[in-house]
Amino acid sequence: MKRPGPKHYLLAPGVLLVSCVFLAPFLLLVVLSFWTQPEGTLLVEPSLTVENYLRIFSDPYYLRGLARTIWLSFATVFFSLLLGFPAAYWIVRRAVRLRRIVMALMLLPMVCGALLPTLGLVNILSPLGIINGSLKQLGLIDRSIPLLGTQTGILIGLIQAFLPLMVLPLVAVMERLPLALEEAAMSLGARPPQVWWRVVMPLAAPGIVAGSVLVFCAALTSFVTPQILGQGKIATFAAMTWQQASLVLDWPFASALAMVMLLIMAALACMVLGFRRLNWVRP
Amino acid sequence: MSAYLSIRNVAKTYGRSIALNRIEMDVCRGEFLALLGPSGSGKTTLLRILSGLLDADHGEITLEGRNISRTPAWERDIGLVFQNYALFPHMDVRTNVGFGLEMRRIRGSEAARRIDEALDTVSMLEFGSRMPSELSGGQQQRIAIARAIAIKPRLLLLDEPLSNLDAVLRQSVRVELRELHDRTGLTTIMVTHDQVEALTLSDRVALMECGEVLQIGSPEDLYQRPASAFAASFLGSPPANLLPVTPVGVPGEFKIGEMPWKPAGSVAEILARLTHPANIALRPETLSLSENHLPGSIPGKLKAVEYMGGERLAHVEIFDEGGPIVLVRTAAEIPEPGTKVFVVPTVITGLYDTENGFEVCRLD
Amino acid sequence: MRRVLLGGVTALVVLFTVAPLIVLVFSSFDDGKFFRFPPREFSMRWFEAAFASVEYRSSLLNSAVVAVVATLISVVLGTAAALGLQRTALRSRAALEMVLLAPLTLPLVIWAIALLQIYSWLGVGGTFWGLALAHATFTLPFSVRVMLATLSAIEPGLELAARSLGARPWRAFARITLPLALPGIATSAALSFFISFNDVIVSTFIAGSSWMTFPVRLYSQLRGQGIDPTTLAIGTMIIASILIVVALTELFNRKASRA
Ligand SMILES: Nc1ncnc2c1ncn2[C@@H]1O[C@H](COP(=O)(O)OP(=O)(O)OP(=O)(O)O)[C@@H](O)[C@H]1O
Ligand SMILES: [Mg+2]
Repeated sequence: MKRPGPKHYLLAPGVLLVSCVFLAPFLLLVVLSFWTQPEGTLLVEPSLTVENYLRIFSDPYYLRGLARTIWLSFATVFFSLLLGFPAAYWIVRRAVRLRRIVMALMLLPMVCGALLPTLGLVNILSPLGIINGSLKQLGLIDRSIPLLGTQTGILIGLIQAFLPLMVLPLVAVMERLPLALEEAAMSLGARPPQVWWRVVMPLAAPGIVAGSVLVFCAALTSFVTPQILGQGKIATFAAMTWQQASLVLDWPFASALAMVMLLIMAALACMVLGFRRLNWVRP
Repeated sequence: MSAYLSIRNVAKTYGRSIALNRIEMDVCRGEFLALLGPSGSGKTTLLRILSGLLDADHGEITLEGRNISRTPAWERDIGLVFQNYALFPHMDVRTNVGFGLEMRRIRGSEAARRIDEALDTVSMLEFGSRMPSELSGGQQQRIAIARAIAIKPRLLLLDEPLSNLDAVLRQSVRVELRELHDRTGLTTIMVTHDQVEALTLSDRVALMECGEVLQIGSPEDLYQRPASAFAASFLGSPPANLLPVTPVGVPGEFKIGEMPWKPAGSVAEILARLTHPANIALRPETLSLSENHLPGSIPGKLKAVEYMGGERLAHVEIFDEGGPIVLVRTAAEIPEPGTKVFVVPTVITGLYDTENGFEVCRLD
Repeated sequence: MRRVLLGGVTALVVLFTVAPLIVLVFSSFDDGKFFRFPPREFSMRWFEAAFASVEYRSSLLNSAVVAVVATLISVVLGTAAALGLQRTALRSRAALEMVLLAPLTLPLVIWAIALLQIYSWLGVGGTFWGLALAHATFTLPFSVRVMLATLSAIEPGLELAARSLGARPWRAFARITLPLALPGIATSAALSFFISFNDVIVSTFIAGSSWMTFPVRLYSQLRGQGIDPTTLAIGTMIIASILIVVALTELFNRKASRA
């Protein structure tokens, strides 16, 4: 099929919408991040300076924010993997009737958006919330542990929000692993931990990588959850970006901040593609 | 002397459906046993229970005098070859074959020697650095076997090892499997639903149906003295003809279905013992055709003739239009279809109860 | 032992994922102005407040209108695109699919910052149509994915069979493929609607005060004043409607698959 047949007209509207409304802005962002906005005005000057980037990388406020965000994102990936891997394995290998319902529950937070779960989390983490309340009832503590407004609180929120992003790709990959591989390993003398370490984990690597990248990117760019759970005391990089765009209204600078996040993700993507090439999966 | 492997009273149910029903079996050291049976008869289930991948509901498995029913799969030292080979796709051939050794903490030159030995046994020495995806189906299967025998298993289990190979390869691998067994002396149990495979390869065949072992014996035993109507109608290509025979009360006279029949010779001698209606099994190759009435022959009409190369298979509709079809396999000349012929039985393969299908009396 | 451990971790993961929603529902029935655990009296007063509040009602209505329009665009374009993709040669297919699914893989925040500026130049910043178009864009990949899965489950021979029986392509599509694809269409509509309805990430950038959606309002309120229990009651109702719609589509799907 060389000539665009009639089927391509079916595709055109959707592809056009995504290209114009979604992809084009990404390209424009590169340009916008080099523009400037003179202090105290709301006028944007088309120019080509790296001023915005210099400002980010010379201001400890942003550098610290970036470091904190990257650290939080890695921690989120670590804990999501720690919890998500066994869960995905259980869903694929053991769940029979529960499977559909568990998978549906995994999708629920995505449909609910970022705010509703955060609303619930505030009531869980607050000084009078479920965690502190029940610990006090049990007599384990008599003063509330601060959770809201701490990095721990934000981390809990991030893991809560993005755990499904780890579980879903893991389930998708593990589903395609024949059970016979694990059984073969066992019949050859591998104990369950060895089966996991030598067979399941290497073969699930594409899912681990995909899930980790998804969770990392989501955590890196999330601002709603950190802002609410951090109570404005702890700013993550995306929250700083949001502040610049929505409160300070310095759009060129916000664009540069966004570009920094985009570049980090691009670097990550390159690493992943490199890893793919080493992978056993053949096209 | 007690058996090398003995299976006592092993049963397994999935929910309400019975997969295995009280299996009793003994296997000698160095024996090649085939588990033969139609689809869903429980062969794979039994194999998985032996390997420890599946827990039996109850029953006992003893290997070399030790009860291994509760031993986990990874401590059983039982080699298993899967139907789809189950080679680890992320490891090369040598790593695959050495996996079991690695798990036993056998490393270095000792491991290398045993990997070489196993690969050599299946003539795949030069493929050590390939990945499984770079091997053909037959080669993958050999690697799967090499991987299983590298651990020097106490028992080698094969689940339909030939079913994924094409017809030509199947023939040659069959011969190789037998040679491998003779060379290594490994006690081997192979699952198959292909009777030719079972009969040609094994020392003994266990015939399974509906979760039960119906008969165990040498291939000759099974073929010539099927212990049940099922065995008679499962083995052989084509399998034995089963005809309902009823004694009419007059010595020497019977009915097939509703039609009178007067057998002769050794057939008559055997049938003389019959007091109740029974199914008689007549193997197609023991029957012959005649254009004239001979003593003990059954009249019929030749419906069709299949040429099988060397031999012919005649479909004879006995007695009237709509009567039972009897298959006759013969190398002799056969008249045109449509001719009236007589089927001459010379040997009876079995006599079976019409209700439960078991032998009415043992024939010798 | 291992089984218990695995099952336990899974239970933890599931609990962790849904606990905030459960707590949200639970706390919306608490009488207090500030939620505390253990809870005080059971009360419906926040639900009454929710129904009485004009402000919330107007922002909820804004959200709903945007979501309906976005859903319409997303489902129609998504279904068409999935149909087109299904009949596209393999090589171009992967690239086109990547474009269509891009909003799923690229972070929305970054996009929203760029969109904010473009919209303001074009003068559509803060307008209804600007918002609806943005929502249609990021819900489109969900429709595409659901419809791709649905269409690939439909036997391709069926439509051909209908054509061989004399149906023109359009008629064959309308009589065979469309009815079989209905469950998928329902699912993608439900997904698109709620994802759009609950979106805060994109809307908080591009929705102005003239067309403020409920999540945007809630977000600014949360940053400023903390939780208004009335919003808990509204959240509970949103979750309830999600569950009802999920149950209905499931029922519908089951009926359709039996037919
Ligand atoms: N996991 C399972 N759950 C429920 N029933 C099962 C399961 N595995 C097997 N069965 C049932 O147990 C019976 C025996 O199955 P088994 O796999 O042992 O048959 P088989 O002899 O190996 O057949 P085949 O030649 O088709 O491989 C079958 O009736 C099957 O339906
Ligand atoms: Mg089987």
